[in-house]
Amino acid sequence: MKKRGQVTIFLIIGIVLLAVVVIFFFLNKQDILNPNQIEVNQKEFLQTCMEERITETVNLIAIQGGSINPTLKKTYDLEDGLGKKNISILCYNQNFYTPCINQEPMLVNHVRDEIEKNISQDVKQCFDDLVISLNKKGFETSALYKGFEIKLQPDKVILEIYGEITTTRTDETKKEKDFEIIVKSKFYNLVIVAQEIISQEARFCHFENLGYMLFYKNFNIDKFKTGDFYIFYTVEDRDSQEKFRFAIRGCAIPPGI
Amino acid sequence: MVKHNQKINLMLMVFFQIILILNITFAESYFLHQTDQITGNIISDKNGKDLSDLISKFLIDFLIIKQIGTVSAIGWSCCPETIISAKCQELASVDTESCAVEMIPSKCEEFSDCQLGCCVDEIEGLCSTKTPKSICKSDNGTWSEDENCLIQECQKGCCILGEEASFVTETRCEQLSGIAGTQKDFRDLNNEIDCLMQKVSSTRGACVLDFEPIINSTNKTNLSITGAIISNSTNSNRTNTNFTDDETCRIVTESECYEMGGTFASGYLCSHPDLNTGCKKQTTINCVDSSDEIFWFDSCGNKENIYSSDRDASWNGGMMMSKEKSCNPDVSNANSQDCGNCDYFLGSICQESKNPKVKDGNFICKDMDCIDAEENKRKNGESWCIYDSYIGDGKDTVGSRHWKRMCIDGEIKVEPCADYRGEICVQAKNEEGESFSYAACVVNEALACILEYNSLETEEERDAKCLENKDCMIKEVKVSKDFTYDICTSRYPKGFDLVEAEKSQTQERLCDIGSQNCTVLLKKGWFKSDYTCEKNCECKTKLFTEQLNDVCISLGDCGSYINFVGDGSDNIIVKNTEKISWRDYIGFAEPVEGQFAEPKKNRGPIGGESNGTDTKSNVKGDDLSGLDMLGTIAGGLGTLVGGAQYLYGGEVLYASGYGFFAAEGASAGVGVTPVFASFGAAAAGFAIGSIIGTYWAKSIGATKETAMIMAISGGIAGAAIGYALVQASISTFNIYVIVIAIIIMIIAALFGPRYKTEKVTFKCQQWAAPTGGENCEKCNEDLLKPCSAYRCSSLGQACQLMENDTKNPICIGSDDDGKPPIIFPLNTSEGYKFFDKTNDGVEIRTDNQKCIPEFTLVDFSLGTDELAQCKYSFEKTKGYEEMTETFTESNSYSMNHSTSIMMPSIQSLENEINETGITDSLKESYAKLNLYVRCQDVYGNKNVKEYIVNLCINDGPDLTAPYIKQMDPKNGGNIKFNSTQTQVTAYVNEPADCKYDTIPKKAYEQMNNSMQCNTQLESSGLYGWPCQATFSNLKSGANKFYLKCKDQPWLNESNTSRNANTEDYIYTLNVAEKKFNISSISPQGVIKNGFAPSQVNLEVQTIGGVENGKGACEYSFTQNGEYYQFFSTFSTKHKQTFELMGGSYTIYVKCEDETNDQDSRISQFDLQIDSTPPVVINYTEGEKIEFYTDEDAECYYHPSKCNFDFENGTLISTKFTTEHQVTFDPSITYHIKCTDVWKNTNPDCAIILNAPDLDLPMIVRAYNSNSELKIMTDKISKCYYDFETCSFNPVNAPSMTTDLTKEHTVNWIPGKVYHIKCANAWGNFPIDCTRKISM
Repeated sequence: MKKRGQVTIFLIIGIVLLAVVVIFFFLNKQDILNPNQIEVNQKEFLQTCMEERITETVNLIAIQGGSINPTLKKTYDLEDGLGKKNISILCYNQNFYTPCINQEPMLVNHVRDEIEKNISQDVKQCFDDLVISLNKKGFETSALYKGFEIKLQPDKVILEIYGEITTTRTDETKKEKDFEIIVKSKFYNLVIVAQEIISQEARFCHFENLGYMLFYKNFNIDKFKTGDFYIFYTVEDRDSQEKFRFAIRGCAIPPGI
Repeated sequence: MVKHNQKINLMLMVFFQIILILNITFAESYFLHQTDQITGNIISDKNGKDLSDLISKFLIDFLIIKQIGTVSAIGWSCCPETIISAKCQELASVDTESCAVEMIPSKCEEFSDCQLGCCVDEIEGLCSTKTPKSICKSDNGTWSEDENCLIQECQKGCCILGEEASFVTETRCEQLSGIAGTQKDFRDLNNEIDCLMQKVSSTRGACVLDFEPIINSTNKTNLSITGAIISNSTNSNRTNTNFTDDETCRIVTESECYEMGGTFASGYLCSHPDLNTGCKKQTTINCVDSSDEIFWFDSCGNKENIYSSDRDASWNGGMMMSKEKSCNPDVSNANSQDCGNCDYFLGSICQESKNPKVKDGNFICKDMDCIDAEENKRKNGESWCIYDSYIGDGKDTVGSRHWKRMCIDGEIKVEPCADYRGEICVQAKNEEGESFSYAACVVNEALACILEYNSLETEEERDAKCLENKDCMIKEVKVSKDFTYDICTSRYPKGFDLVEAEKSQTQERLCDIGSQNCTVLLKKGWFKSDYTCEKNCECKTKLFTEQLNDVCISLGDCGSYINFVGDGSDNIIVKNTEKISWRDYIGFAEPVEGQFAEPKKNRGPIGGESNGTDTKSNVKGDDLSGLDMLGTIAGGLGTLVGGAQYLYGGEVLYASGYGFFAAEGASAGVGVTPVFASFGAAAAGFAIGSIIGTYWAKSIGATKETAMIMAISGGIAGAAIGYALVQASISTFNIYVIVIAIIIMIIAALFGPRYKTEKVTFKCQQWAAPTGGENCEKCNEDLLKPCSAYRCSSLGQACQLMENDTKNPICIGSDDDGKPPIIFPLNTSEGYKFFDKTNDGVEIRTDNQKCIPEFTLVDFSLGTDELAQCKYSFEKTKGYEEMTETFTESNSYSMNHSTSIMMPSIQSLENEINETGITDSLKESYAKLNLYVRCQDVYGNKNVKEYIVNLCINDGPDLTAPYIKQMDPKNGGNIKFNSTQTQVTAYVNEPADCKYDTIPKKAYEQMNNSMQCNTQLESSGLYGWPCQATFSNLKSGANKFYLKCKDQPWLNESNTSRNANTEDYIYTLNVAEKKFNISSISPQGVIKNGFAPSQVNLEVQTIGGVENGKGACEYSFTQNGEYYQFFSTFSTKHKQTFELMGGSYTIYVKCEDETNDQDSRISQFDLQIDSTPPVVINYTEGEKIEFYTDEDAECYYHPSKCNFDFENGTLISTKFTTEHQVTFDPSITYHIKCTDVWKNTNPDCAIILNAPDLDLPMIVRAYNSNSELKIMTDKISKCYYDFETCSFNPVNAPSMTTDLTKEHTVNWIPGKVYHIKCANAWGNFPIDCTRKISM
């Protein structure tokens, strides 16, 4: 073989080896991340794992008046593509002429509890999945799951996962504690408006949605009165189009006498 | 034979009026109150019914219905949790099935767990009104008694969050500020609009990284360029981490720039050439969240000024420009190609758009206005009313609804007002400048018009109320001179439940208020054979029917009328007059352009509170308000408004009068001289004769002149006889006189003019939907007007609403099987059974298969195999339409058809009809009394063959004595303190004479006092035949009376066939032993509260009367104004809560007990609102620190700052007091803050004691920037200002600073002198000004 050919072969071999090395490093990129990056990845993992679940839960609770399985409810299809839903009656008086009685005064607490109740298994599962994932990536992992908490704030739902994950590889140990997952959502804003509506309905038998919409143009508030004396309110955030829907029955005026 | 049958029919018609006790109409009911039907008048009818009486009766009837029996407080129980999981609901005590747990036998307000109050979320700073205590506490809320949350914690103010303002509670402001990472800035502004409109000033400008000015400058610090300030950061920790790698400039506030480590150029755009940022001006345009306008953006992505196609004008030389100075600030600029100064309140907002668009990008000020269905332009925020058909004048069509529409963000939204026209849509229009309308769905007060106002004591009162309430109108019926009346009725009649059978009965009764009789007087002249109409002839024309139908329609869904698509049905029964058809009203199906309901003064939603002294809605919103209203009206029972006149009563009495005057003369003559005695005897004879003549005339229905002739003739004959008797001889002359007089009487009787009457009747029935279902689909045609059960049911009997639980349910017609209903017997009242049941009929007999005794009520019901409307008659008829009698459910469609029958005795009928030749026939009729029944189904399939219900009435001798069914006042009832007599009515089960005595066990004949009994068959009411008397010589306490009755009053007193009671009916009346009085009323004098509106409880206690002070109270804010019932009353304690602003008030209160014993008092008070925090007015420092506040307060101190929360301070006071002391510790500086009982708290220190040497701040720089005065101090401090003096207390002065800082800002008002004092971190401030500034 000529020298030139040998050089070419070595060159090719070299390129192939280089490619193999590059591919190897590429495929194992996550495994060679430094511990600082692990923190980011753990959080991202949990964010990815929980975000959709939280959004689903929040949306479901929102269109059902703040509960996953409402007890005091009115089943109705408001024909906005959501189908027939059990919608919580948040303020209720079964008699005629009299204002409704607030059934869910601590609404923010209630919806937060509902979200927590509905995602508790998922949070644990995501945490466990993270540990499994880290193990698969060659980390020795010691994890302690301590629970979680949902915080509702304007424009966001925050999931605080309490726990510790200690990862060890090649004598390098990293301990991570508590993770904060933020999901953008107008849910809290909508709940606050809902609570205001209920308070006004209970007090004045009326909520002036047009005036409210003019002053708070981010909200679109639809009011629908049924023939059987219920009022459905749908509060919508104009930008995100997220909705919170609930029913009330108060100051009902009977037919005839 | 024909004549014979007619007579039988006539008789059946007569007793028909009393057999249908449960169907009794108001037309009959008012007979209860007539006492002179037998002797007083020829025409026994009264034209223009006494409406007050009718309505009272309506309410009595209404209130005895089972579900309304729960009106009284005793009938309500509190259910802590219902089976559908609703908490704290008040249920009828009998409704135990609806409650999931054990019911509490009291109203919820009296059950602690369900007491309503305000629930405060102390973390979020949110308040929830009307919350049961138990729910709030179980959810970890803080509960307080004020159900409307008028408490300090829930007072809202203006919270400044960055550039935005929010109207929230202080706690919430703290929460939101915490989340936003800003200092709490809570301003005491109690108006939401003012708060939201507040321009939050924060100077913005370009924040430049590594500022390198290109102008000639040697000093970058505090370099002034054309009036603006450029300052570099003194922050030694400048990191630039907020800037991206290639970012050179950003528009932020000065403090943000400080944080970011940039150089701030106030009011500059980043593209300003002097800043040398490299950012190129006006490269793109875009919308910005939370802003209305289109903005230019520079090449660095920074927002510039509001878009204008005039780029130079918009760029403004690289300086920021306010909205007001931007292009066309006073218009919306909707769809403008040149100006992006959109304004939401003027009807536009920035939106991405390719067409139309502004010249420099795909954005536009989107027009938020709308075009309505009539192609009218509607402004953003405008609302208006839409109606299905004609409205007002009592002509709203059946099934119609009022709709509110609104234009918001360019989209038309629909809000249906409450169905059944429970709400009406009212509209007002601003015609000044551009037309702008406002609409609202408000409560329809239709029932108040009919039930409340018509039962007011005087016509003037009624008219005033009726005219004042725009939901009501006075409807005048003027058929003839003698048939005229008016009624307050609803302008927008309420809709009825057209399906629910339970509602049908009460609705039918409401319609029945429109039923009327008109008595037409017919006269036959001398020697004439035919009668001609003399009076009320117009009642026999269409005018009568039309006018009465108009009243009938206005009462609700009643009468012959149409639904909202113009189809209708006839629901009136008229007799002896012309008919009308629903087709006459088809024109009302179309809405009238420009027609709308006007808003009413003080109109408000029901149930809710009204502000301050605002008058309440007549349909009160408080608990049980609707029922209270009924109670109030029921309270007016017995208050009869006169007005209807007896026709010709006076004339008859005039004829009688001759006789009585003569009789008096006769009496006077007895015992005088023989000559005069003879005249006296003649006169007595005249009197007797004339009385006989008068009665005879009346008995044959003679006219006035005939009666006069007969009375005079009788008198002459009597006088002749009398004279002859005294003279003891009858001369030939006397005989002639007697004979001639008698002949004249006979001639007059036989051939003289006579009257007879004819009753024209109008029965107003509940509206029934037309048969069939061909119009059902019309309910589904307009998606903006969704169908409902009410609308669907109005379109046809066969219409059914499918998918009820959807926004747009579908109304469809059910299938027609083409078969008429099958009728079958269902049930009878106890003691009776059906016998011989066949497909064609059934017999009703007693259990032992005997005929039904006379005057016994028998209830029975027939069933149909499908929904059907049934009628019956006592004669055979050709078809369904000819049958006029309806079952209890009237013309409603039902599967259960009930009625009640009570037959009079044959003897009573004989007596009533005064006809002897038909007795056998009548007996025959009684033996084979048939009710012929036919029904039609919802598709109009009718029975051809009648279903016969056979009843036979026992015509044997009456062997049972009558019995008293009811007393008024009720047995054991109470009457007013000091009463010595009262009118009493006994209701007897059959026509009878009654007597009473104060001594027990007397035989009927021996009893001393007779009662005046109305024994006509027609006189029977709900409780039987009335006997009245005035019971006198009453004494305080219990008064016992003994009553007995004797039946068959048409027989002689001594007739042994008559049955009298052997046992006494013992009747007790209690005269109140004490006067009913108001014993206490509060508040009086001065009352204080910390904020307005304040909750004020008007509390009244009553004593005396019949039940130790139990009564009902009303209040009014004006002495002669409208009085409203207390929210909590019908007890000895009465309470009403108001929400009042500060000021002086006089509230007039009147109370009465059940005997109508009244007392009235006034509550006068001055409500003072204390909204200022305590002020330290004196202090001493020694071994103890002592200081005094100007009001009771609780004070705390903190060793290092004034801005502390009380939980972090040390409590000085042990209670709310004006004297405060604490042991002096020289090492502590006492920063003292106080709060009063209303939680008015010092924003800073009330006083600082034992402060270290003063080290007061100095003002080192002051300048004007962007219409703001800015000052800088040499040390962190808080600065305050006053325009007048340096001798001001900073505690009460406006602040330039939210927290300790070196920079202080306030809006600059040209021409003002700012007297500024700055306090150091210890809260110390100079006595004189730190600086006076005027620029």
